[in-house]
Amino acid sequence: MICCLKGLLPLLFLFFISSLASPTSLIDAQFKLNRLESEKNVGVSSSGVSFYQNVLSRTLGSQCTLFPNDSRFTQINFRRCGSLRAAFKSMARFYMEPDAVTLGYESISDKEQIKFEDFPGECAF
Amino acid sequence: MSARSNFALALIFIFFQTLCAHAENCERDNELFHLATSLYDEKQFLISSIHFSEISASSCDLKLASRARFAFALCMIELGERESALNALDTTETKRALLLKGYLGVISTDISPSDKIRLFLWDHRFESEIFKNALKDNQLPVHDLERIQAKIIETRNKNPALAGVMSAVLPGAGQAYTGAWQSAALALIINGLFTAATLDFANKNMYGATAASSVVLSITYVGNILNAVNSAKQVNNVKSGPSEVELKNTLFPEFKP
Repeated sequence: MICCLKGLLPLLFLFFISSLASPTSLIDAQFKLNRLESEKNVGVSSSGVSFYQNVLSRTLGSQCTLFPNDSRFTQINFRRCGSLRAAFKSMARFYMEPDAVTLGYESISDKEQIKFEDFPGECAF
Repeated sequence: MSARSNFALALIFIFFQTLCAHAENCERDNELFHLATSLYDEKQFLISSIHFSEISASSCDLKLASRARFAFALCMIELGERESALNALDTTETKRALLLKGYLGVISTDISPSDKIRLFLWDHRFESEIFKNALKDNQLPVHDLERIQAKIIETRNKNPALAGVMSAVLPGAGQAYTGAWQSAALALIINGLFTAATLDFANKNMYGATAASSVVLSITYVGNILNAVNSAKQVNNVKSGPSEVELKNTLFPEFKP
């Protein structure tokens, strides 16, 4: 009996999360992300972030609960806003990670995971 | 039968064939419009926009094509594509298209005074006094609008500036104020660690390490303030979101596909 309940716990947790935030379309979210990534490069290139994405993230795995994940968010901000603003904004985004549910971000289902949508906004603070 | 009558029969056959094909296309467009509308209601904006675009390109029913262009503009707004929405509205000169343009910030001279009031009310939905004064002496459902606006003001009870100042004084305090306790703990720990490291390096006269540590500390510290401000804004937006949707539906009932 307890084993069955234990098996149900992840499902109950997923149900709890999905009931808190309204789901949005992954296709729409992907479209918005592609549009942001195709914007003209005005900042500096973020080779450090690329190194993280290509080497560290693949080795260590990603625990990011937000969509797009922090490294892509940082890359977009690097391109759009320059290095200084991108660093501040990405740090602010990093603090947001554990409380994405509490803060009521809209949920989407990405690669069998529930993530919370938060796109880069304006460059100005 | 003469060749002339054969030719006439063939012409009549082609005419009816074209008529049937046209009617079939119109029916297909109507069905597609209903499908696209239900997708729009399910928040599938990109897919519904593709269907609306297809219908608007079809010349079967001009009224339906105009409706589809308007619906396409609504989808583009939801996807954050303001320019595409304006481009679609440029080819639609209906009253509601002008109103939607006004909603996007392009006020035309053809827009009616009552529509201007509605747009003004929407723009000043967070300012109680201006909103109430603008409500006087017009044909809108005053009681409903006042009730919804009061709800918006009531739910937007987190002050982003206060959250920022609190986090500047004590990292994590602004996040705690907004109810994001885990973010608060993370901000306090990270900033505490880097402050301690910077002070320790400075005490040991390790100038290079002190400089490096203080650069990282400045990023974590400013990021913490920004996060507190963003959290307060997010909480306000989430809490007032349903009331804002209600206000939008009451002010602009025509903003539907």
